[in-house]
Amino acid sequence: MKVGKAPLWWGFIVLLALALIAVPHVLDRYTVFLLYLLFLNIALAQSWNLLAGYAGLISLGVAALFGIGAYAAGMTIVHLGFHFLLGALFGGVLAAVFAAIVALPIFRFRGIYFAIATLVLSEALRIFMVNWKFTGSAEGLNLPLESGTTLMWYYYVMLLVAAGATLLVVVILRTKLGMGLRALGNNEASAQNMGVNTFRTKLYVFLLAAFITGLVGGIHASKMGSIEPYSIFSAMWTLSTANTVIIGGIGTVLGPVLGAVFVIILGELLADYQTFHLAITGALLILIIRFIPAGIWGQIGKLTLARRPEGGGTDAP
Amino acid sequence: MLLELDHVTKHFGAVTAVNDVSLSIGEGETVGVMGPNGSGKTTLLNLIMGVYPADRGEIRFVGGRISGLRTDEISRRGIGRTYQIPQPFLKMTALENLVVGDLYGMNHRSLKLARARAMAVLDRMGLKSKADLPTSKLGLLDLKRLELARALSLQPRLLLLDEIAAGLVETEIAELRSLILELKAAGQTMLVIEHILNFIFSVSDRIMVLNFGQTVVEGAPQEIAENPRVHEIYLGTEEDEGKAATETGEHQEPEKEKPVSLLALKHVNSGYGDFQVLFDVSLQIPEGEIVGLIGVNGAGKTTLIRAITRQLRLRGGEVLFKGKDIGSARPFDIVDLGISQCIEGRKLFPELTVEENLEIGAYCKRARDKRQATIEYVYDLFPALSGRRRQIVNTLSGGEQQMVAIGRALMARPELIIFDELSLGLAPIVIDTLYEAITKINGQGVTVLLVEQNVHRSLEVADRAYILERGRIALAGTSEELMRNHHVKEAYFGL
Amino acid sequence: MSFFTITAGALNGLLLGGLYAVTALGFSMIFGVMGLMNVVHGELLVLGAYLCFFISRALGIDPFVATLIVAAILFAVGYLLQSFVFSPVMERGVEPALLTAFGLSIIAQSLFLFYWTTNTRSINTGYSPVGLKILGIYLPVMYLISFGLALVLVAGVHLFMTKTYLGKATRAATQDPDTAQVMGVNVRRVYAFTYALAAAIAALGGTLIGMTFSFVPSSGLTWLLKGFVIVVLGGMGSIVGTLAGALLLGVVEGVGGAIMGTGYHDLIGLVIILLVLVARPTGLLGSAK
Repeated sequence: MKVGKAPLWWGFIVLLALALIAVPHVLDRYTVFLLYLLFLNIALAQSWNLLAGYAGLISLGVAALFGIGAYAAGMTIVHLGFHFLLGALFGGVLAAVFAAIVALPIFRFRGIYFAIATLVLSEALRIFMVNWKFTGSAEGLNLPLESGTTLMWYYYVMLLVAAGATLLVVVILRTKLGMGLRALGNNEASAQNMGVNTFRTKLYVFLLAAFITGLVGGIHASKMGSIEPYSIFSAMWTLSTANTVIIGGIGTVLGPVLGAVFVIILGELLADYQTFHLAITGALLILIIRFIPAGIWGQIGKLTLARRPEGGGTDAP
Repeated sequence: MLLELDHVTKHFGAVTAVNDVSLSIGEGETVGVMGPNGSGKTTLLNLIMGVYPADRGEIRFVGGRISGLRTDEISRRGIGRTYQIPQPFLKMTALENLVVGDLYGMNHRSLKLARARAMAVLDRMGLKSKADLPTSKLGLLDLKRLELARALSLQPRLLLLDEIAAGLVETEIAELRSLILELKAAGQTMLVIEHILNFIFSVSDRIMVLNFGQTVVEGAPQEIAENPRVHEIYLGTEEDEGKAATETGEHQEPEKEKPVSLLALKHVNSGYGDFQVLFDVSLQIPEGEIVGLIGVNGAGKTTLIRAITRQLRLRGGEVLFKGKDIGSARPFDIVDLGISQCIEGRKLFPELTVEENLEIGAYCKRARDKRQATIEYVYDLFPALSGRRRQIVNTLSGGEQQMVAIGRALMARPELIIFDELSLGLAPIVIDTLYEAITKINGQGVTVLLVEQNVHRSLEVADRAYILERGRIALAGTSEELMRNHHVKEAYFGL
Repeated sequence: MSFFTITAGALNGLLLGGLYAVTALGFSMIFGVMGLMNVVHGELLVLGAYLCFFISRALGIDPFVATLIVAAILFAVGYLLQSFVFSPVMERGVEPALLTAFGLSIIAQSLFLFYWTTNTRSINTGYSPVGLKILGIYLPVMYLISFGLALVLVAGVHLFMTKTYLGKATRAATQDPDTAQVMGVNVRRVYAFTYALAAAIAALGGTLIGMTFSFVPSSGLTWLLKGFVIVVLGGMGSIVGTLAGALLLGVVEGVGGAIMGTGYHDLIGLVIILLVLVARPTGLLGSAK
């Protein structure tokens, strides 16, 4: 974003913010719910994109972090009487702790092994949770419905989280951490030669992403009212997050947002054809990787930048 | 003493890349390191930067031990390095590249101040106008300048330069040289690895020559340039002459009439990306002859071979085999045409046996059905191999491996064989055996293109030769003419 | 929990390991030869199971005979997949190829769901539920058959790789694709053939799964992960290593299940490889590529 265009962007953002705040009062419940899902996806996508888009670390373990957040929130709400927001925050923290513990071993893996290790971890956790009596094993948990917590509440909370996640990405990219992240994503060995402690940099970003993912899981647990391991730890969360980012534009700030919008709309259009929805999503993923690897927003970015006199692109927002 | 290497040794499996090397660099000094390919220069650099640990010995920087530290810790202590092939952060701008170094290398916080300091460094390197360009858009000389700038953004007490002049043309080298000399005048301590000999001679206070991972000699540039042992390493000795001649007794007379050209290159230009390596190369390989292609490392010999075998695109000129343009052939068709290679570094299939490696050599259509017969021929040529048919090639000695490589190239029943750096890392006696074999192969009618660093050896066995210097044919003629020519040394060393 | 139950568990596990070996072999081959982490492998197994189920029913033949037909079909499918879907993407690195396989996996699962619903299926024959009592231990016949098939298959592939020209070319391409290319080996075609062969083997794997257990459209993931565990345990790309890893997994699961109860059964393997990977990132037996 060039300085000259900033006022235009700010104006747009303010208008959008006002619209989003006002909207739930005029739209029907179902649409509000869709928007809630949209914000959920955006939050997940932004955090996934931090690692995958800038550091090149593809994590297939979103479901694990999401699920941990959900269960941590659920357990504290049910057994300790936490308020749903507090429970969700706790969920985020616990997810981050989990991430910190597994970071040391799994960051040793390069590229593909990292992806598979996260997938394995995720599945292992799911199987474990199905069997763990402490958390209700396969039947899961039922959360008490809080009076006064309406769909509106969830809408606004998730909106805040999605906006916060997006803002966080923008801010990080403008700081030392962001520079280090992009450097190691470009060329890890070269980054080390320039003094970047690549492990620590990856760790910080991983913790942030885990926190956001866990937080989102915690909020969603309250919204759903009951959680069980098969759906909460399902690989579908990972899939849809990765999809959203890749289709929208990996490694850009607006890509995840666009991707989420696209995915939600596609889901609605194909609501009557559930199974084709999945198939088309898969096909889309393959086609995008093959022909437009930069994703929708990324491709637009390339085309518009190419017309400027200096041309070319960077991975800066 | 700023940097001290104390009896440093590094093994990679059975290969000793660096053997008991000791070196010290004082503040403000510029020390050059040179040596033929495989002599351990880059390994030395990697050891200093902590890319891998040394097996024996210690490395100290400003008195403190750095062997065993991580790369990022070492760079934060004040050592900056450049890569031979520039490794910038491609998706970031030039300025951002330096900002990373400033922030992380120097432990700074503020992006704003980092940008200002980075701009200053870019200015010194003449890159100010390109600060906001993504580095993927920069040309080679600018990339090299950027490599230097990035290392400087760490404000290093010691700068390690790895073949920074490689791939540049004369004028660009001159510019780079003046940049380095400016840094030197400002007191920067440097370790310079280089192949371009006039470059390294002009910037170094002291030069260390490595061969086979060991220090051969150390001294002032002038001494090194005149040292006969150094010449020996690069050119081979006068003793090498006369050997092949007495053993085979055959030596073709230089052209009686114009011989038929089997392979011809006409005005070939080629390179990698922005990196042009070959400039207007023309040469002829007459049928039935042994033609030598001689030059130092980095001269472009392997690039030339890849251009011939279509592993590299041509940017101009043509390659004719038996009179036909083969520019559009695909790499795996070349063997079927009749051109076979014995690749640099052998590149055998490590976990296959001797016999299996040979068999794969005959995979192409023209050789497949005759492979039994060809295998017997190879074992005939190299009796040492016939007892090792079922041995996995990883377990063979260097010389035996080279024999397998030659045999594998023969399996394709070629009309032309290209040998790339046969003698690398092998003992003289072994090299004798190999060269004997080459002469025998040639005697059977196979045309040979022999690519070598060792001038005397190749001139002895070749009918004619071309000397390649920084991508251009510097000298050409029959081997007799070249042997008598005093300019060979100059052309070779680029002096 | 006696010595007897543990031995029974171990022996059953060993034989089951044979089944595991067959299901993992294709995955191991593709990863070993081309470095591609074929995450759609699970769906290939499931596809094999479904096809066998329907074809053996429709033609009224024994599932093993039907497998021959299914193997031919999957061979063709595999060849096309590698040539047209994976090949162009592989040049750009491993992650795009992985994600492409991911996409294929999603498509396959949803198609299975659409055509064949969520009904649990299994391939039944007169002999499949039968068990034999040997030395007082109950051993399912399918386990024994699978074990035998595993040995034959592994021997067969090993012979192919070491005795045939194409097999040697494949090994050469595995170790150094660029040099192989220079020697005249059409590496693209070698890769396509390898994938096709792996898919054909997956057909047999699917049959065994269908006859020994049951399956639904989403069963693929579990088998994929088992395949991954086995490859890590036994070394990437080593055929014999895959067999060893599979048998080891089977035994460990069998013994662990005897001690801890069946719920955590599947978890054991996953936990083990995580531990193994932490200790030796390149797997227990294999060589790093």
